[in-house]
Amino acid sequence: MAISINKLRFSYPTSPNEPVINIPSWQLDKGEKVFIHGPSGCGKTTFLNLLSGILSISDGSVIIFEQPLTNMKQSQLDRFRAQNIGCVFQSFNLIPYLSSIENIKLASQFSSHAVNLHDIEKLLSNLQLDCSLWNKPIHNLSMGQKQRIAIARSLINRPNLIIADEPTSSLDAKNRDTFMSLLMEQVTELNCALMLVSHDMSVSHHFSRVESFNELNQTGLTT
Amino acid sequence: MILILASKSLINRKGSVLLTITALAVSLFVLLAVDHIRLQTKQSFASTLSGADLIVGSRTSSINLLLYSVFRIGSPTANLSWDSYQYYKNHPKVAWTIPISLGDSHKGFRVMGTTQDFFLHYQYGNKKKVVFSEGEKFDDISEVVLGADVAKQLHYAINDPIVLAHGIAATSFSIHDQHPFNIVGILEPTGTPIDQSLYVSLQGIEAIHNNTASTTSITAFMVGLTSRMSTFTLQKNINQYSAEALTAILPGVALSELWQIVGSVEDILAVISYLVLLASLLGLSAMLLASIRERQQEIHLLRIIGAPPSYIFLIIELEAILIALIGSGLSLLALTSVLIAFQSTLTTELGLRLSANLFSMNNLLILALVQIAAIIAAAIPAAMAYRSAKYTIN
Repeated sequence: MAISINKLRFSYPTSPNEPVINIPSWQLDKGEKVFIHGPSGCGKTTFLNLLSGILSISDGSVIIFEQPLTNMKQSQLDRFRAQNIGCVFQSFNLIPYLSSIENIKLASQFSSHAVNLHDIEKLLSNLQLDCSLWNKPIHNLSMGQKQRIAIARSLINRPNLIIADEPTSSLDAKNRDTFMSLLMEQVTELNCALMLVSHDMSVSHHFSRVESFNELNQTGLTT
Repeated sequence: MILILASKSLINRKGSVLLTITALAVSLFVLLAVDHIRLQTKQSFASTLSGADLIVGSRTSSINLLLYSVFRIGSPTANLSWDSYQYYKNHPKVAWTIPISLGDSHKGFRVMGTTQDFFLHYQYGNKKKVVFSEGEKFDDISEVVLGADVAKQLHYAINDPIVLAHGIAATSFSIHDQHPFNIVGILEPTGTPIDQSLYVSLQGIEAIHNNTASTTSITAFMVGLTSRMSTFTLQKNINQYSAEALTAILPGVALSELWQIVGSVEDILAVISYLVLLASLLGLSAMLLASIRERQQEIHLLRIIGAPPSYIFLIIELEAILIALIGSGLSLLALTSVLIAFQSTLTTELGLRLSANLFSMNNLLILALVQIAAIIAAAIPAAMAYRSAKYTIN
């Protein structure tokens, strides 16, 4: 099992009596790809932050690859995240003043996987990023190019799970399709689980499993 | 990788970072300059004269007598008579004397009238005597010996003719061109005001002023005693000499008095330079603090890829260290350049010989302390970044 959730509840400290997340039970198999859709502000990002250990779980349990997150200290969560989870976001995925190679190399610093320059270059080539762009600062690249580097950054440590939060929101239709094709290709090659959340239903056809976050999350919030 | 991240982050904020580096470099420049000038001046003054037990001149303050007779700074108030000089020259407790007659110059360099005893008895540094690099002592009324810097800067050689000028200004309207001198010797460099002077006989000085070879007065004289036990006795004797109002000083004591006066100014300058440094370090802290607020997303991103909060703390500290290192390097470069550019002017105008070599234990200690101070100054922003990193997540 890639993810196993049992009675997960979460509320922000400012509103302890208003749970943002309330998921009685949910699972994701190893290598499985799921698309979760829901409107903006329904708690999708909070859910992903709980799964990646960015937010602390208030109640219930989250087990990722047989590791219960609730029992981990902060430093263990940091290491676990670097080792097992790759993240792609809507924007600000990368450090703008570093080059593509440096951004990817930086992500490999916190994992125990041995990564060399050849691995990074191979990954960038697979993602069809022209080698003339590899050493340019990120702020000189287009949004589509940045998102491809974000995929490379999330895959460099050969994670078991990729979490993608609205990764196509800032892309046009052509770049969105290219991005999705490349992401699915790489995820399949690596045989890792993928969890993509978005309000954009146009990418759902890439997934065999599609779920509605509002059905998953039983808080009664519908926004 | 952390070094690349810190340095590229600084380059990315080059505007504010450059201003901070400049502020730090300027404050360090002031601090190092004050300290370097203080140490070099003391070293230079202390090594200018050794071996002379007393310096005697007409009645004046001990510091004034020391400054004009040894360091060629300032002007004598009056001359002392040749008879008084002869009286003490022949005193049983006196082993040797060096008469000094000042008041003339050549192209900004001071001329000293003396006798051959100067070359025999004058000692500087660690009891070193003056040595000729070329030629020999003057032996005639029209012969002159040059200090090393005079010969070098004016491109003079043995047998070149020169004329002296009345007064000590670089440009004089009273040239003694009726009595030219012939260069017969050039001294080895000593690193003292000796290198900045020309040496002629007392008779030569009289000849250009009074058209006579007989000396009637001199400016001062240095005294070497047969026994150091009699230093204070003879000093008292000279100070109470009834025929003429004279002042006898112990060079070491007069130099200590000078440092006592200069010391309080030095302390004030040191306090000011440390305050300027403190201000620039506070500027560094403020700049880093402001950057933390701008870099919340960056911190968040680093945390997501697995960077622990201590990594964020280290980045901020490393940025402060890089700024301090670049500031230190720039200040050393600027101070060295200024010292090289103004070395000659400082020597001729103020008699200060300042080495452009800044690599001393003292300076290394100051630079090491600045690095530590930068680390401390960055501790608050680094702690804020740590806290932000810790609570960005959770």
